[in-house]
Amino acid sequence: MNVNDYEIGGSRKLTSLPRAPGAPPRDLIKRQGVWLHTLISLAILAVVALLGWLIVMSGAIRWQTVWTYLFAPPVLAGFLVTLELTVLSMLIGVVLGIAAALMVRSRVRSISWVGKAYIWFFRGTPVLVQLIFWFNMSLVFPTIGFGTWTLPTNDVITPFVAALLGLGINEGAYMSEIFRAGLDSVDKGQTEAGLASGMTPSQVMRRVVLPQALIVITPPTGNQAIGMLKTTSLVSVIAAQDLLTKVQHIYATNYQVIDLLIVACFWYLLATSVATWGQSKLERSFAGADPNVVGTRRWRRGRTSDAGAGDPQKVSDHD
Amino acid sequence: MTDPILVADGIWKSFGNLAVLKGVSMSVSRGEVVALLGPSGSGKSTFLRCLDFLEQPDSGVVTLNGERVGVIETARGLYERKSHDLARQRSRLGMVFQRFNLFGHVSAIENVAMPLRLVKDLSHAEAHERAVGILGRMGLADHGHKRPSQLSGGQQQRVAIARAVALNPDAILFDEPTSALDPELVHEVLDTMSALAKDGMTMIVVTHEIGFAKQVADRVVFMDGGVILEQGTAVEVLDNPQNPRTRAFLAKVT
Repeated sequence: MNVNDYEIGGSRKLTSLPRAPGAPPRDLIKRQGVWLHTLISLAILAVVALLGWLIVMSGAIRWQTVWTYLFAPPVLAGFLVTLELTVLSMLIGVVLGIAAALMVRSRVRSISWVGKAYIWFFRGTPVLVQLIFWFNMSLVFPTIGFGTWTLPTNDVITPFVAALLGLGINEGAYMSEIFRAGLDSVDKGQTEAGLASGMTPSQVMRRVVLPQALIVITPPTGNQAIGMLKTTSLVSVIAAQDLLTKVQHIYATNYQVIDLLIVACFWYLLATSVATWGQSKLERSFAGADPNVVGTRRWRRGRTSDAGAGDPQKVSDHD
Repeated sequence: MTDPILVADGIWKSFGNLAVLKGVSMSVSRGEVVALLGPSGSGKSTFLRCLDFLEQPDSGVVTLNGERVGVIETARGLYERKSHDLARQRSRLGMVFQRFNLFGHVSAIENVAMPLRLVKDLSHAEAHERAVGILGRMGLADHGHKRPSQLSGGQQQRVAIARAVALNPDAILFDEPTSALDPELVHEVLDTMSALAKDGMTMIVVTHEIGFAKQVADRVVFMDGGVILEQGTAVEVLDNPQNPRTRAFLAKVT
Protein backbone atom coordinates (compact mmCIF):
# COMPACT_ATOMS: atom_id res chain seq x y z
CA MET A 1 0.00 0.00 0.00
CA ASN A 2 1.13 3.48 -0.84
CA VAL A 3 1.45 5.62 2.24
CA ASN A 4 0.18 8.60 0.24
CA ASP A 5 -3.20 6.90 -0.08
CA TYR A 6 -3.95 7.86 3.50
CA GLU A 7 -4.44 11.17 5.18
CA ILE A 8 -3.25 11.42 8.74
CA GLY A 9 -5.17 13.52 11.21
CA GLY A 10 -7.50 13.51 14.20
CA SER A 11 -10.91 11.89 14.45
CA ARG A 12 -13.71 12.20 16.99
CA LYS A 13 -14.75 8.57 16.75
CA LEU A 14 -11.33 6.94 16.89
CA THR A 15 -9.84 9.26 19.49
CA SER A 16 -12.79 8.57 21.76
CA LEU A 17 -11.65 4.96 22.05
CA PRO A 18 -9.89 4.12 25.32
CA ARG A 19 -6.23 4.86 25.11
CA ALA A 20 -3.28 3.89 27.28
CA PRO A 21 -2.09 6.75 29.53
CA GLY A 22 0.66 8.72 27.85
CA ALA A 23 -0.09 7.32 24.38
CA PRO A 24 -0.41 9.89 21.59
CA PRO A 25 -3.79 10.40 19.85
CA ARG A 26 -4.61 7.68 17.35
CA ASP A 27 -3.85 8.38 13.70
CA LEU A 28 -6.89 8.94 11.55
CA ILE A 29 -6.82 6.92 8.36
CA LYS A 30 -9.58 8.10 6.03
CA ARG A 31 -11.26 5.90 3.50
CA GLN A 32 -11.17 6.83 -0.17
CA GLY A 33 -13.95 6.67 -2.72
CA VAL A 34 -16.79 6.68 -0.19
CA TRP A 35 -18.69 9.35 -2.18
CA LEU A 36 -18.77 7.04 -5.23
CA HIS A 37 -20.29 4.18 -3.24
CA THR A 38 -22.83 6.55 -1.75
CA LEU A 39 -23.74 7.81 -5.20
CA ILE A 40 -24.23 4.28 -6.56
CA SER A 41 -26.41 3.22 -3.64
CA LEU A 42 -28.49 6.38 -3.94
CA ALA A 43 -28.99 5.70 -7.65
CA ILE A 44 -30.18 2.15 -6.93
CA LEU A 45 -32.48 3.48 -4.23
CA ALA A 46 -33.96 6.00 -6.66
CA VAL A 47 -34.69 3.32 -9.27
CA VAL A 48 -36.37 1.07 -6.69
CA ALA A 49 -38.38 3.99 -5.31
CA LEU A 50 -39.53 4.89 -8.81
CA LEU A 51 -40.64 1.31 -9.48
CA GLY A 52 -42.47 1.20 -6.17
CA TRP A 53 -44.13 4.51 -6.94
CA LEU A 54 -45.26 3.25 -10.36
CA ILE A 55 -46.74 0.07 -8.82
CA VAL A 56 -48.53 1.94 -6.05
CA MET A 57 -49.86 4.60 -8.43
CA SER A 58 -50.90 2.16 -11.17
CA GLY A 59 -54.25 1.65 -9.51
CA ALA A 60 -53.87 -2.15 -9.58
CA ILE A 61 -53.59 -2.23 -5.79
CA ARG A 62 -56.66 -1.34 -3.79
CA TRP A 63 -55.25 -0.68 -0.36
CA GLN A 64 -58.75 -0.85 1.04
CA THR A 65 -58.96 -4.51 -0.09
CA VAL A 66 -55.55 -5.28 1.37
CA TRP A 67 -56.64 -3.79 4.68
CA THR A 68 -59.95 -5.68 4.64
CA TYR A 69 -58.30 -9.06 4.18
CA LEU A 70 -55.18 -8.51 6.25
CA PHE A 71 -56.85 -9.75 9.44
CA ALA A 72 -59.66 -11.77 7.85
CA PRO A 73 -60.28 -15.02 9.80
CA PRO A 74 -59.47 -17.35 6.86
CA VAL A 75 -56.17 -15.53 6.28
CA LEU A 76 -55.24 -15.77 9.95
CA ALA A 77 -56.27 -19.44 10.02
CA GLY A 78 -54.07 -20.05 6.98
CA PHE A 79 -51.16 -18.22 8.62
CA LEU A 80 -51.56 -20.45 11.67
CA VAL A 81 -51.44 -23.57 9.49
CA THR A 82 -48.29 -22.20 7.82
CA LEU A 83 -46.67 -21.77 11.24
CA GLU A 84 -47.78 -25.25 12.35
CA LEU A 85 -46.40 -26.80 9.17
CA THR A 86 -43.10 -24.95 9.63
CA VAL A 87 -42.59 -26.01 13.24
CA LEU A 88 -43.73 -29.60 12.83
CA SER A 89 -41.89 -30.29 9.58
CA MET A 90 -38.70 -28.78 11.03
CA LEU A 91 -39.08 -31.07 14.05
CA ILE A 92 -39.47 -34.08 11.77
CA GLY A 93 -36.52 -32.81 9.74
CA VAL A 94 -34.27 -32.44 12.78
CA VAL A 95 -35.09 -35.92 14.10
CA LEU A 96 -34.63 -37.56 10.70
CA GLY A 97 -31.54 -35.43 10.07
CA ILE A 98 -29.80 -36.59 13.26
CA ALA A 99 -30.76 -40.19 12.55
CA ALA A 100 -29.52 -40.04 8.95
CA ALA A 101 -26.29 -38.27 9.92
CA LEU A 102 -25.52 -40.92 12.54
CA MET A 103 -26.42 -43.68 10.09
CA VAL A 104 -24.08 -42.31 7.43
CA ARG A 105 -21.27 -42.25 10.00
CA SER A 106 -21.99 -45.82 11.13
CA ARG A 107 -19.23 -48.42 10.93
CA VAL A 108 -21.79 -50.91 9.64
CA ARG A 109 -21.75 -50.39 5.91
CA SER A 110 -25.35 -51.38 5.24
CA ILE A 111 -26.61 -48.82 7.77
CA SER A 112 -24.39 -46.19 6.20
CA TRP A 113 -25.85 -47.02 2.79
CA VAL A 114 -29.43 -46.70 4.02
CA GLY A 115 -28.63 -43.20 5.28
CA LYS A 116 -26.89 -42.24 2.06
CA ALA A 117 -29.75 -43.60 -0.08
CA TYR A 118 -32.28 -41.54 1.91
CA ILE A 119 -30.27 -38.35 1.44
CA TRP A 120 -29.65 -39.11 -2.22
CA PHE A 121 -33.32 -39.69 -3.03
CA PHE A 122 -34.90 -36.85 -1.10
CA ARG A 123 -32.31 -34.27 -2.05
CA GLY A 124 -32.36 -35.45 -5.64
CA THR A 125 -36.07 -34.99 -6.28
CA PRO A 126 -38.06 -31.73 -6.10
CA VAL A 127 -39.98 -31.24 -2.88
CA LEU A 128 -42.98 -30.15 -4.95
CA VAL A 129 -43.05 -33.54 -6.65
CA GLN A 130 -42.67 -35.28 -3.29
CA LEU A 131 -45.62 -33.34 -1.90
CA ILE A 132 -47.85 -34.36 -4.82
CA PHE A 133 -46.61 -37.93 -4.36
CA TRP A 134 -47.66 -38.07 -0.70
CA PHE A 135 -50.96 -36.41 -1.58
CA ASN A 136 -51.69 -39.16 -4.12
CA MET A 137 -50.57 -42.03 -1.91
CA SER A 138 -54.07 -43.53 -2.15
CA LEU A 139 -53.34 -44.37 -5.78
CA VAL A 140 -50.59 -46.71 -4.58
CA PHE A 141 -52.20 -47.95 -1.36
CA PRO A 142 -55.99 -47.46 -1.44
CA THR A 143 -56.23 -48.59 2.19
CA ILE A 144 -53.87 -48.66 5.15
CA GLY A 145 -53.98 -51.16 8.01
CA PHE A 146 -53.44 -54.70 9.17
CA GLY A 147 -55.73 -57.65 8.48
CA THR A 148 -59.35 -56.69 9.04
CA TRP A 149 -58.49 -53.31 10.57
CA THR A 150 -58.07 -50.96 7.63
CA LEU A 151 -58.71 -47.33 6.85
CA PRO A 152 -59.00 -45.53 3.52
CA THR A 153 -55.65 -43.94 2.82
CA ASN A 154 -57.26 -40.61 2.09
CA ASP A 155 -58.62 -40.51 5.65
CA VAL A 156 -55.16 -41.02 7.10
CA ILE A 157 -53.09 -38.96 4.71
CA THR A 158 -55.08 -35.73 4.67
CA PRO A 159 -53.59 -32.81 2.77
CA PHE A 160 -52.10 -31.56 6.05
CA VAL A 161 -50.48 -34.93 6.78
CA ALA A 162 -49.24 -35.20 3.21
CA ALA A 163 -47.76 -31.71 3.53
CA LEU A 164 -46.09 -32.64 6.80
CA LEU A 165 -44.64 -35.87 5.39
CA GLY A 166 -43.46 -34.20 2.21
CA LEU A 167 -41.83 -31.20 3.89
CA GLY A 168 -40.49 -33.05 6.95
CA ILE A 169 -38.93 -36.01 5.19
CA ASN A 170 -37.41 -33.75 2.55
CA GLU A 171 -36.06 -31.44 5.23
CA GLY A 172 -34.49 -34.39 7.06
CA ALA A 173 -32.22 -35.03 4.09
CA TYR A 174 -30.92 -31.45 4.18
CA MET A 175 -30.70 -31.36 7.97
CA SER A 176 -28.61 -34.53 7.95
CA GLU A 177 -25.96 -32.76 5.89
CA ILE A 178 -25.97 -29.90 8.41
CA PHE A 179 -25.65 -32.32 11.31
CA ARG A 180 -22.90 -34.23 9.52
CA ALA A 181 -20.89 -31.05 9.04
CA GLY A 182 -21.52 -30.14 12.68
CA LEU A 183 -20.37 -33.49 13.98
CA ASP A 184 -17.31 -33.40 11.72
CA SER A 185 -16.42 -29.96 13.08
CA VAL A 186 -15.77 -31.39 16.55
CA ASP A 187 -12.15 -32.40 16.96
CA LYS A 188 -11.54 -36.16 16.93
CA GLY A 189 -9.50 -35.76 20.10
CA GLN A 190 -12.72 -34.97 21.97
CA THR A 191 -14.15 -38.35 21.05
CA GLU A 192 -10.90 -40.12 21.91
CA ALA A 193 -10.67 -38.41 25.28
CA GLY A 194 -14.25 -39.42 26.05
CA LEU A 195 -13.65 -43.02 25.01
CA ALA A 196 -10.36 -43.17 26.90
CA SER A 197 -12.21 -41.96 30.01
CA GLY A 198 -14.38 -45.04 29.79
CA MET A 199 -17.48 -43.43 28.32
CA THR A 200 -19.49 -45.49 25.86
CA PRO A 201 -19.70 -44.21 22.27
CA SER A 202 -23.29 -43.06 22.80
CA GLN A 203 -22.33 -41.18 25.98
CA VAL A 204 -19.50 -39.51 24.09
CA MET A 205 -21.92 -38.54 21.32
CA ARG A 206 -24.58 -37.13 23.66
CA ARG A 207 -22.41 -35.48 26.30
CA VAL A 208 -19.28 -34.42 24.42
CA VAL A 209 -19.71 -34.23 20.65
CA LEU A 210 -23.31 -33.07 20.12
CA PRO A 211 -23.18 -30.15 22.59
CA GLN A 212 -20.11 -28.82 20.79
CA ALA A 213 -21.53 -29.54 17.34
CA LEU A 214 -24.62 -27.46 18.16
CA ILE A 215 -22.60 -24.26 17.88
CA VAL A 216 -21.91 -25.12 14.26
CA ILE A 217 -25.35 -26.64 13.60
CA THR A 218 -27.55 -23.85 14.93
CA PRO A 219 -27.01 -21.05 12.38
CA PRO A 220 -27.74 -23.14 9.26
CA THR A 221 -30.68 -24.80 11.04
CA GLY A 222 -32.11 -21.34 11.65
CA ASN A 223 -31.68 -20.60 7.96
CA GLN A 224 -33.48 -23.81 7.11
CA ALA A 225 -36.38 -22.91 9.42
CA ILE A 226 -36.68 -19.47 7.82
CA GLY A 227 -36.56 -21.10 4.41
CA MET A 228 -39.21 -23.57 5.54
CA LEU A 229 -41.61 -20.73 6.41
CA LYS A 230 -41.60 -19.84 2.73
CA THR A 231 -41.33 -23.38 1.33
CA THR A 232 -44.61 -24.27 3.07
CA SER A 233 -46.35 -22.15 0.42
CA LEU A 234 -45.71 -25.05 -1.99
CA VAL A 235 -48.35 -27.08 -0.17
CA SER A 236 -50.99 -24.85 -1.75
CA VAL A 237 -50.83 -27.22 -4.73
CA ILE A 238 -52.32 -29.95 -2.53
CA ALA A 239 -54.77 -27.54 -0.86
CA ALA A 240 -53.31 -27.98 2.61
CA GLN A 241 -55.10 -24.86 3.91
CA ASP A 242 -51.93 -22.87 4.49
CA LEU A 243 -51.71 -19.10 4.08
CA LEU A 244 -51.24 -19.19 0.31
CA THR A 245 -54.04 -21.75 -0.16
CA LYS A 246 -56.44 -19.52 1.76
CA VAL A 247 -55.44 -16.42 -0.13
CA GLN A 248 -55.79 -18.23 -3.44
CA HIS A 249 -59.28 -19.39 -2.44
CA ILE A 250 -60.26 -15.81 -1.77
CA TYR A 251 -58.89 -14.33 -4.97
CA ALA A 252 -60.37 -17.18 -6.97
CA THR A 253 -63.77 -15.70 -6.17
CA ASN A 254 -63.13 -11.96 -6.05
CA TYR A 255 -60.22 -11.66 -8.56
CA GLN A 256 -58.27 -9.26 -6.32
CA VAL A 257 -55.11 -11.27 -7.02
CA ILE A 258 -52.43 -8.67 -6.36
CA ASP A 259 -54.08 -7.30 -3.23
CA LEU A 260 -54.36 -10.73 -1.63
CA LEU A 261 -50.82 -11.68 -2.58
CA ILE A 262 -49.69 -8.54 -0.78
CA VAL A 263 -51.66 -9.74 2.24
CA ALA A 264 -49.83 -13.07 2.07
CA CYS A 265 -46.45 -11.36 1.67
CA PHE A 266 -47.15 -9.24 4.73
CA TRP A 267 -47.60 -12.30 6.93
CA TYR A 268 -44.67 -14.19 5.40
CA LEU A 269 -42.42 -11.17 5.91
CA LEU A 270 -43.61 -10.75 9.47
CA ALA A 271 -42.89 -14.40 10.27
CA THR A 272 -39.47 -14.47 8.59
CA SER A 273 -38.50 -11.18 10.26
CA VAL A 274 -39.40 -12.47 13.71
CA ALA A 275 -37.62 -15.76 12.96
CA THR A 276 -34.50 -13.94 11.76
CA TRP A 277 -34.46 -11.83 14.90
CA GLY A 278 -34.90 -14.95 17.01
CA GLN A 279 -32.11 -16.69 15.16
CA SER A 280 -29.61 -13.92 15.81
CA LYS A 281 -30.58 -13.97 19.49
CA LEU A 282 -30.07 -17.73 19.60
CA GLU A 283 -26.75 -17.53 17.84
CA ARG A 284 -25.54 -14.94 20.25
CA SER A 285 -26.47 -17.04 23.25
CA PHE A 286 -24.69 -19.99 21.68
CA ALA A 287 -21.67 -17.85 21.02
CA GLY A 288 -21.77 -17.09 24.74
CA ALA A 289 -21.23 -20.76 25.39
CA ASP A 290 -17.95 -20.58 23.52
CA PRO A 291 -15.44 -18.42 25.37
CA ASN A 292 -13.34 -18.14 22.23
CA VAL A 293 -15.96 -15.96 20.59
CA VAL A 294 -15.29 -12.34 21.34
CA GLY A 295 -17.62 -9.87 22.94
CA THR A 296 -20.36 -11.97 24.46
CA ARG A 297 -21.69 -11.30 27.91
CA ARG A 298 -20.72 -14.64 29.38
CA TRP A 299 -17.24 -14.34 27.97
CA ARG A 300 -16.72 -10.95 29.58
CA ARG A 301 -18.07 -12.22 32.85
CA GLY A 302 -15.56 -15.07 32.69
CA ARG A 303 -12.78 -12.63 31.94
CA THR A 304 -13.43 -10.14 34.71
CA SER A 305 -13.17 -12.90 37.29
CA ASP A 306 -9.65 -13.72 36.16
CA ALA A 307 -8.27 -10.46 34.89
CA GLY A 308 -4.88 -10.67 33.31
CA ALA A 309 -5.03 -14.19 31.89
CA GLY A 310 -5.24 -13.75 28.17
CA ASP A 311 -5.18 -11.12 25.53
CA PRO A 312 -6.94 -7.88 26.54
CA GLN A 313 -6.89 -6.78 22.89
CA LYS A 314 -9.77 -9.20 22.27
CA VAL A 315 -12.08 -7.26 24.56
CA SER A 316 -11.41 -3.82 23.18
CA ASP A 317 -11.93 -5.10 19.64
CA HIS A 318 -15.62 -5.37 20.29
CA ASP A 319 -16.38 -2.62 22.78
CA MET B 1 8.44 -57.96 37.12
CA THR B 2 6.68 -59.50 40.06
CA ASP B 3 3.20 -58.15 39.48
CA PRO B 4 2.59 -57.50 35.77
CA ILE B 5 -0.47 -55.30 35.49
CA LEU B 6 -0.36 -54.33 31.81
CA VAL B 7 1.13 -56.74 29.29
CA ALA B 8 1.49 -56.28 25.54
CA ASP B 9 2.61 -59.28 23.53
CA GLY B 10 3.69 -59.11 19.89
CA ILE B 11 1.72 -56.05 18.81
CA TRP B 12 1.65 -55.45 15.05
CA LYS B 13 -0.05 -52.50 13.43
CA SER B 14 0.04 -51.22 9.86
CA PHE B 15 -1.54 -48.22 8.19
CA GLY B 16 -1.90 -49.17 4.55
CA ASN B 17 1.48 -50.47 3.41
CA LEU B 18 3.32 -48.91 6.30
CA ALA B 19 4.05 -51.27 9.20
CA VAL B 20 4.23 -48.95 12.22
CA LEU B 21 4.54 -51.63 14.90
CA LYS B 22 6.42 -54.85 14.19
CA GLY B 23 5.82 -57.10 17.13
CA VAL B 24 6.23 -54.91 20.19
CA SER B 25 6.09 -56.64 23.57
CA MET B 26 6.21 -55.01 26.98
CA SER B 27 5.21 -55.91 30.50
CA VAL B 28 4.59 -53.23 33.10
CA SER B 29 4.46 -53.99 36.83
CA ARG B 30 2.26 -52.31 39.38
CA GLY B 31 3.76 -48.99 40.42
CA GLU B 32 6.34 -49.01 37.66
CA VAL B 33 7.09 -45.90 35.60
CA VAL B 34 8.19 -46.63 32.03
CA ALA B 35 9.59 -43.90 29.77
CA LEU B 36 9.12 -44.69 26.09
CA LEU B 37 11.68 -42.90 23.92
CA GLY B 38 12.31 -42.82 20.22
CA PRO B 39 12.43 -40.61 17.14
CA SER B 40 9.16 -39.39 15.67
CA GLY B 41 7.54 -42.03 13.50
CA SER B 42 9.05 -44.81 15.58
CA GLY B 43 5.60 -46.06 16.61
CA LYS B 44 5.59 -44.99 20.28
CA SER B 45 2.25 -43.18 20.15
CA THR B 46 0.62 -45.89 18.06
CA PHE B 47 1.79 -48.46 20.59
CA LEU B 48 0.27 -46.46 23.43
CA ARG B 49 -3.00 -46.09 21.53
CA CYS B 50 -3.07 -49.84 20.90
CA LEU B 51 -2.86 -50.44 24.66
CA ASP B 52 -6.08 -48.44 25.14
CA PHE B 53 -7.63 -49.92 21.98
CA LEU B 54 -7.99 -46.46 20.44
CA GLU B 55 -6.16 -48.20 17.63
CA GLN B 56 -7.03 -51.83 17.06
CA PRO B 57 -3.83 -53.87 16.75
CA ASP B 58 -3.62 -56.02 13.62
CA SER B 59 -2.31 -58.84 15.77
CA GLY B 60 -0.97 -59.34 19.25
CA VAL B 61 -2.43 -59.44 22.72
CA VAL B 62 -2.91 -56.70 25.30
CA THR B 63 -3.94 -57.76 28.78
CA LEU B 64 -4.84 -55.54 31.69
CA ASN B 65 -5.03 -57.29 35.08
CA GLY B 66 -5.04 -60.59 33.22
CA GLU B 67 -8.05 -59.62 31.10
CA ARG B 68 -7.63 -59.30 27.36
CA VAL B 69 -8.30 -55.72 26.22
CA GLY B 70 -10.74 -55.00 23.40
CA VAL B 71 -11.45 -58.54 22.28
CA ILE B 72 -12.82 -61.76 23.68
CA GLU B 73 -11.34 -65.14 22.82
CA THR B 74 -13.89 -67.85 22.15
CA ALA B 75 -13.83 -71.30 20.64
CA ARG B 76 -15.06 -69.75 17.37
CA GLY B 77 -12.34 -67.12 17.30
CA LEU B 78 -11.84 -63.52 18.42
CA TYR B 79 -14.78 -61.19 18.98
CA GLU B 80 -14.80 -57.46 19.45
CA ARG B 81 -16.00 -56.54 22.93
CA LYS B 82 -19.35 -54.77 23.23
CA SER B 83 -18.94 -51.01 23.58
CA HIS B 84 -19.95 -50.88 27.26
CA ASP B 85 -17.53 -53.73 28.03
CA LEU B 86 -14.67 -51.98 26.24
CA ALA B 87 -15.63 -48.74 28.03
CA ARG B 88 -15.36 -50.55 31.37
CA GLN B 89 -11.85 -51.73 30.42
CA ARG B 90 -10.80 -48.30 29.25
CA SER B 91 -11.98 -46.79 32.52
CA ARG B 92 -9.23 -48.86 34.17
CA LEU B 93 -6.59 -47.16 31.95
CA GLY B 94 -6.10 -43.42 32.01
CA MET B 95 -4.88 -41.58 28.94
CA VAL B 96 -3.27 -38.16 28.68
CA PHE B 97 -2.92 -36.70 25.20
CA GLN B 98 -0.39 -34.42 23.59
CA ARG B 99 -3.14 -31.93 22.67
CA PHE B 100 -4.83 -32.21 26.12
CA ASN B 101 -8.22 -32.96 24.51
CA LEU B 102 -10.17 -31.40 27.35
CA PHE B 103 -13.90 -31.25 26.70
CA GLY B 104 -14.16 -27.76 25.24
CA HIS B 105 -17.73 -26.97 26.22
CA VAL B 106 -17.49 -27.45 29.98
CA SER B 107 -15.46 -26.13 32.92
CA ALA B 108 -12.31 -27.74 34.32
CA ILE B 109 -14.32 -29.18 37.20
CA GLU B 110 -16.89 -30.62 34.83
CA ASN B 111 -14.11 -32.14 32.69
CA VAL B 112 -13.16 -34.20 35.72
CA ALA B 113 -16.65 -34.71 37.13
CA MET B 114 -18.46 -35.74 33.93
CA PRO B 115 -16.61 -39.08 33.50
CA LEU B 116 -17.03 -39.76 37.22
CA ARG B 117 -20.80 -39.47 36.86
CA LEU B 118 -21.07 -41.32 33.57
CA VAL B 119 -18.47 -44.01 34.17
CA LYS B 120 -18.31 -44.42 37.94
CA ASP B 121 -22.01 -43.66 38.51
CA LEU B 122 -21.23 -41.06 41.17
CA SER B 123 -23.94 -38.55 42.06
CA HIS B 124 -23.60 -34.94 40.93
CA ALA B 125 -22.51 -33.87 44.42
CA GLU B 126 -20.01 -36.69 44.91
CA ALA B 127 -18.47 -36.20 41.47
CA HIS B 128 -18.22 -32.46 41.98
CA GLU B 129 -16.61 -32.88 45.38
CA ARG B 130 -14.04 -35.35 44.12
CA ALA B 131 -13.25 -33.21 41.08
CA VAL B 132 -12.73 -30.11 43.20
CA GLY B 133 -10.53 -32.10 45.59
CA ILE B 134 -8.28 -33.49 42.88
CA LEU B 135 -7.97 -30.18 41.04
CA GLY B 136 -7.05 -28.58 44.37
CA ARG B 137 -4.29 -31.12 44.92
CA MET B 138 -2.95 -30.29 41.44
CA GLY B 139 -2.78 -26.62 42.37
CA LEU B 140 -5.74 -25.70 40.18
CA ALA B 141 -8.19 -24.69 42.91
CA ASP B 142 -8.63 -21.19 41.46
CA HIS B 143 -9.20 -22.41 37.92
CA GLY B 144 -11.94 -24.99 38.40
CA HIS B 145 -14.72 -22.88 36.92
CA LYS B 146 -12.81 -21.85 33.81
CA ARG B 147 -13.29 -23.28 30.36
CA PRO B 148 -10.28 -25.03 28.82
CA SER B 149 -9.73 -22.15 26.39
CA GLN B 150 -9.28 -19.80 29.35
CA LEU B 151 -6.46 -21.91 30.77
CA SER B 152 -2.79 -22.01 29.80
CA GLY B 153 -1.48 -25.15 28.13
CA GLY B 154 0.19 -26.30 31.32
CA GLN B 155 -3.01 -25.82 33.29
CA GLN B 156 -5.02 -27.64 30.65
CA GLN B 157 -2.66 -30.59 30.74
CA ARG B 158 -2.86 -30.74 34.52
CA VAL B 159 -6.67 -30.78 34.28
CA ALA B 160 -6.32 -33.63 31.79
CA ILE B 161 -4.11 -35.49 34.25
CA ALA B 162 -6.66 -34.82 37.00
CA ARG B 163 -9.39 -36.22 34.74
CA ALA B 164 -7.39 -39.42 34.29
CA VAL B 165 -6.39 -39.72 37.96
CA ALA B 166 -9.94 -39.13 39.21
CA LEU B 167 -11.09 -42.42 37.72
CA ASN B 168 -8.55 -44.20 39.91
CA PRO B 169 -7.15 -46.26 37.02
CA ASP B 170 -4.71 -49.17 37.19
CA ALA B 171 -2.28 -47.28 34.96
CA ILE B 172 -2.07 -43.98 33.10
CA LEU B 173 -0.69 -43.67 29.57
CA PHE B 174 0.94 -40.34 28.67
CA ASP B 175 1.26 -39.56 24.96
CA GLU B 176 3.93 -36.83 24.70
CA PRO B 177 2.24 -34.81 27.44
CA THR B 178 4.60 -31.82 27.20
CA SER B 179 5.28 -31.66 23.46
CA ALA B 180 2.53 -29.12 22.75
CA LEU B 181 3.52 -26.82 25.62
CA ASP B 182 5.43 -23.57 25.62
CA PRO B 183 8.89 -24.29 27.13
CA GLU B 184 8.22 -22.34 30.33
CA LEU B 185 5.12 -24.45 31.05
CA VAL B 186 6.75 -27.86 30.69
CA HIS B 187 8.06 -28.10 34.26
CA GLU B 188 4.67 -27.71 35.97
CA VAL B 189 3.31 -30.70 34.07
CA LEU B 190 6.43 -32.77 34.70
CA ASP B 191 6.25 -31.88 38.40
CA THR B 192 2.66 -33.10 38.53
CA MET B 193 3.69 -36.33 36.83
CA SER B 194 6.64 -36.83 39.19
CA ALA B 195 4.32 -36.41 42.18
CA LEU B 196 1.98 -38.96 40.64
CA ALA B 197 4.86 -41.40 40.17
CA LYS B 198 5.90 -40.92 43.79
CA ASP B 199 2.35 -41.78 44.86
CA GLY B 200 2.86 -45.16 43.20
CA MET B 201 0.86 -44.67 40.01
CA THR B 202 1.73 -47.08 37.22
CA MET B 203 2.71 -44.96 34.22
CA ILE B 204 3.84 -45.36 30.63
CA VAL B 205 5.16 -42.06 29.34
CA VAL B 206 6.01 -41.36 25.72
CA THR B 207 8.32 -38.39 26.00
CA HIS B 208 11.26 -36.45 24.64
CA GLU B 209 12.13 -35.13 28.10
CA ILE B 210 15.37 -37.00 28.80
CA GLY B 211 15.74 -35.30 32.18
CA PHE B 212 12.33 -36.51 33.29
CA ALA B 213 13.11 -40.04 32.12
CA LYS B 214 16.36 -40.00 34.09
CA GLN B 215 14.82 -38.76 37.30
CA VAL B 216 11.46 -40.48 37.39
CA ALA B 217 11.43 -43.55 35.17
CA ASP B 218 12.14 -46.99 36.64
CA ARG B 219 12.72 -48.25 33.13
CA VAL B 220 13.58 -46.58 29.86
CA VAL B 221 12.53 -48.20 26.60
CA PHE B 222 13.93 -47.06 23.27
CA MET B 223 11.87 -47.71 20.16
CA ASP B 224 12.66 -47.14 16.50
CA GLY B 225 11.21 -48.48 13.28
CA GLY B 226 8.34 -50.18 15.08
CA VAL B 227 10.45 -52.34 17.37
CA ILE B 228 11.99 -52.03 20.82
CA LEU B 229 15.74 -51.70 20.30
CA GLU B 230 16.91 -51.36 23.86
CA GLN B 231 15.57 -51.16 27.38
CA GLY B 232 16.79 -51.04 30.94
CA THR B 233 17.26 -48.62 33.79
CA ALA B 234 17.74 -44.95 32.99
CA VAL B 235 21.44 -45.26 33.74
CA GLU B 236 21.84 -48.23 31.43
CA VAL B 237 19.96 -46.82 28.45
CA LEU B 238 20.60 -43.09 28.75
CA ASP B 239 24.15 -42.99 30.12
CA ASN B 240 25.51 -46.09 28.51
CA PRO B 241 23.45 -46.91 25.40
CA GLN B 242 24.47 -50.10 23.59
CA ASN B 243 22.54 -49.75 20.33
CA PRO B 244 24.06 -47.30 17.81
CA ARG B 245 20.61 -45.91 16.95
CA THR B 246 19.93 -45.18 20.60
CA ARG B 247 23.26 -43.39 20.73
CA ALA B 248 22.47 -41.38 17.61
CA PHE B 249 19.04 -40.40 18.96
CA LEU B 250 20.38 -39.36 22.37
CA ALA B 251 23.11 -37.34 20.74
CA LYS B 252 20.45 -35.38 18.85
CA VAL B 253 18.04 -34.67 21.70
CA THR B 254 20.52 -33.88 24.47
